[in-house]
Amino acid sequence: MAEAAIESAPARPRRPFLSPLNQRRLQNFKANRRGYWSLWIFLFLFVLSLFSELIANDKPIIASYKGEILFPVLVAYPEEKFGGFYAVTDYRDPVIQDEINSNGWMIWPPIRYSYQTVNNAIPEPAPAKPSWLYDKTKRCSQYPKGEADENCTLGNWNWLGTDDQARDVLARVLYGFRISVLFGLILTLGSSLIGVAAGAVQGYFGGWTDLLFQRFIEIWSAIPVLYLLLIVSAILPPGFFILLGLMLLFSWVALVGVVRAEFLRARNFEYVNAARALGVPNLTIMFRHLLPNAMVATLTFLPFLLSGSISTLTSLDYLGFGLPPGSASLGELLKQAQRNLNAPWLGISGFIVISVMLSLLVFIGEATRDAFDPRKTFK
Amino acid sequence: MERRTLLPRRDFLALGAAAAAAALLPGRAFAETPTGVELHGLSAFGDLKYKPDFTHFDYVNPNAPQGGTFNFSPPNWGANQSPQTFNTLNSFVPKGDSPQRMEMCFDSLMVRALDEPDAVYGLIAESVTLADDRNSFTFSLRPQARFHDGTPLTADDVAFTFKLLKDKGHPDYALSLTHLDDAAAKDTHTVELKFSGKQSARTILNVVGFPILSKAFFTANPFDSSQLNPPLGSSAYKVGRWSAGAWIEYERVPDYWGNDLPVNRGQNNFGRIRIEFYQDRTAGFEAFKKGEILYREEFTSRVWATAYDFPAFTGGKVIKHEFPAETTPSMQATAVNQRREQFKDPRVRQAIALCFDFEWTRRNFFYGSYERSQSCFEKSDFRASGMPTPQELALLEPLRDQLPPETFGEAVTQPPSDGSGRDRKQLSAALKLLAEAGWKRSGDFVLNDKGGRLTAEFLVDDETFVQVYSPWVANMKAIGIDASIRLVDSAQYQLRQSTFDFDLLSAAFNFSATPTRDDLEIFFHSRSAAVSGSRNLSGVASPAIDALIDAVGTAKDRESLTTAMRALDRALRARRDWIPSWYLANHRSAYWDMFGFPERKPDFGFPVEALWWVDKGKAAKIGKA
Repeated sequence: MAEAAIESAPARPRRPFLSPLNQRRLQNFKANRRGYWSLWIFLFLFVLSLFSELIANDKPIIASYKGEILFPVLVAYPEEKFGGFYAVTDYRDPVIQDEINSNGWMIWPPIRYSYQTVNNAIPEPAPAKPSWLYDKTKRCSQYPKGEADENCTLGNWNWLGTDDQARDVLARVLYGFRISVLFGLILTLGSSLIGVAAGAVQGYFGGWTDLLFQRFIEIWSAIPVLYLLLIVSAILPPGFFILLGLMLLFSWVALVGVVRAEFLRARNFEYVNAARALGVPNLTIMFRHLLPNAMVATLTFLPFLLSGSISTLTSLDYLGFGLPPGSASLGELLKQAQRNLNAPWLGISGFIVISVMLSLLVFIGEATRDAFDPRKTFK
Repeated sequence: MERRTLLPRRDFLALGAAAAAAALLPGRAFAETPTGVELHGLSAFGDLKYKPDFTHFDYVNPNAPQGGTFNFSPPNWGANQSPQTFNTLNSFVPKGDSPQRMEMCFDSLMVRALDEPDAVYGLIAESVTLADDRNSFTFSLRPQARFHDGTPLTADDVAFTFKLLKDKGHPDYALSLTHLDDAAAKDTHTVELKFSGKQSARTILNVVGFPILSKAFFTANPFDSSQLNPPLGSSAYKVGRWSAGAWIEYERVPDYWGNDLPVNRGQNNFGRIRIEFYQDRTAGFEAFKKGEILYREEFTSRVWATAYDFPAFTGGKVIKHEFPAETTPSMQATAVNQRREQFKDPRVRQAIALCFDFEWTRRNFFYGSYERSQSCFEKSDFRASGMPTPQELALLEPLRDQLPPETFGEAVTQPPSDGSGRDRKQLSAALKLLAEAGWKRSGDFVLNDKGGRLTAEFLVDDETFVQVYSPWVANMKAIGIDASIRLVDSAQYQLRQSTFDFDLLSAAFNFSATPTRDDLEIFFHSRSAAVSGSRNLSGVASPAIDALIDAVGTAKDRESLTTAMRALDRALRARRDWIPSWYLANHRSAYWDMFGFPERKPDFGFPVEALWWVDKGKAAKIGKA
């Protein structure tokens, strides 16, 4: 009997991979077609840009030299290896190319420029037009052997022209997209972690904690960030992480207000009081019972935070106080566009990349917000 | 690409202290000029091209037709003038913005002859007499001199002007008057300027060109920038119509008292000179395209090479013409700061210089304009070339053991590259020099025996220089120098420059046509090496160079001055303290084809508004009559 009872007991339902709530969120997300497609396009571009080194680089991906297989993309070989004398091998140099080709072979990435590679053979003074606007004679005119030169190939085309330092715009845009997105993502992640935590503590505990913290934030957010950046850049050479740290110091404030408000509202709800009466620790209450309430507000803000971080970086670069000279930066591209009105390919490339990137991110953010909104329903 | 830096006020003050500490050698200026005699002109060495009975300067057209309107963008400005706007018509005070060419409304005691390096001839002053100590100058004024309201211009006005400018004037004026002890009217037409004896040799040549203001006017009106009423002038032009901040017109005075003076003949030909103010040079260029502006000098290579494709130009109505630049010595170079341990060895400095591929830069960034600079006194007669002459050797020989051996061979030049951007020959030569200087390759960098990297950071304050220097930095990196560019804001740039806190820094300077000891000391003397704010950016402190500067300072005539300057140039170039960059050999002028101008441009100035005239025939041909 006992066995039969066990046998006939209904099988414990298997937990689905996603909880029903999360399933609903996923449904909601997918229901926003624009956001859903944006996510895929963005992921494609982002993953592509993560492999920029294999797509646009001034080093071959693989080379064989005197029977040895080399990976110049990954390993910096001194030029002595090929009979030269530079500290870092210049694979674009015809001397080195001849040396390698006569002793083996090499496979180049589709674009033979990295973000700071100067194209020494531009047919016109920089900024040079996109290569497809020149005929073959003109395009190859600055190569040592002219049209017959083996370097005058598709891989050496500047598809989007060059900037005013004779660097390939396409390569710079590719690397610039990557650094902008990474900067934006890290900054958003960091500032939402800090901001949500700070807002939660204030809202949950209220009273003096809230009062003092609020005053502190008011003072803190009154500091003019741009001037501070100028001052700091006078002392420290600006770089990716210094900028990130500086921006992080101030951008977390944006989320505090909304999270605090949600926590203040919900801290005395009956279920919260009940949990408190049951002796649930504060931290658990905050995480399990209050945070989900604050999620919608937070997620509403996130896309703005993300696109805001990216445009801040871009504008700092534009002003010349961002990433150090030579970095792949979209702001610098726009600056160049402004200074070289006769080179529309700079402005157009910069505009398209930045606007597409920001729009995609905002669309995705919009869909995420829809997904987390408990009041929103889709058919 | 090119930036002219005047010595900022602050530096003068800092250097004043250094100069005071130095035992002053007897001033040689005017040593050859007779005292107690009435002179019609002055120059540093007493040599005057024009005799007392000259009728006009050689560089003007004495029969130039007069009239017409000249609407132009002035290429230069001084004192408190601004090319972008104006809010006062007083151009002589430190505050406010005044319109360009305001000084044109005022006559001066004497005027420069533009085909001589530093000669001045009497305008208001009929003659000048030197006192025996050569520190006082007595001017007798022309009795016919008049202000525009008809009142006579007297010695009182002159004395008043110099005191006023010394006390309240813009530093451009006041600084030259620092050592003026007194300006006194002896009688209605005689005035004396007395200097303390500490003044530089060139001071008086400068001071006699200052505008003479009306005592009556500035007694009745405050001497500051608070008002927008035209000060009473005395010259060929007076302020006509104007609209504050937008445009101003200078009208020719019909009954100008000095019309027939030899120093004026053939000049001031336009009936009206109009200047329009633009916040942005691009907007000014658009106005030029349309014919609103008739003359313009172009500062940007890119615009000069690419933007002149508008209808008026292709239709032949607008002309692009390059006029030779003034032959005053100029230096545009990169200072290698020898206060930094790693740059003490001249071979390191030479290696850095070899990494700069000027030919590539010129083709790809400069649109083929600019010339490679080789000398510290480029464009002038003081540029050394070839083997040293016996006279130069006479100066150099006693210093042989203190100077690099290259000084005594062919003048040092920067070798031209193959223009590929990565000239392997030059870079391997650079690497060899580094190796000789004790820098050995290890990994990606060259290291010294202590394992330290050879760092070299360019300090710049403008994006343009980031563009130009990036390939240079890339080449330095290629041979293992840890090179970088640091872009800072201009305040910090100024501070780090005056405290010598940089590795490499580029600067451009103009010397005067007759350099004095003071001019050169600021740049090259060991005394200025430690004075913050001096122009001795590379920290040259060599007794041999000091001795050569002395030789310049004590030159008795122009010929020995030239010899000494060339010897100094050789020594400086061989030491490689400065890496010469480039210079523009020409004025890039663009104008609507309706003007006549003298065939030959004077060597020491190019005041288009004074020398050119409207050619009615040409104007009619392009519909501008």
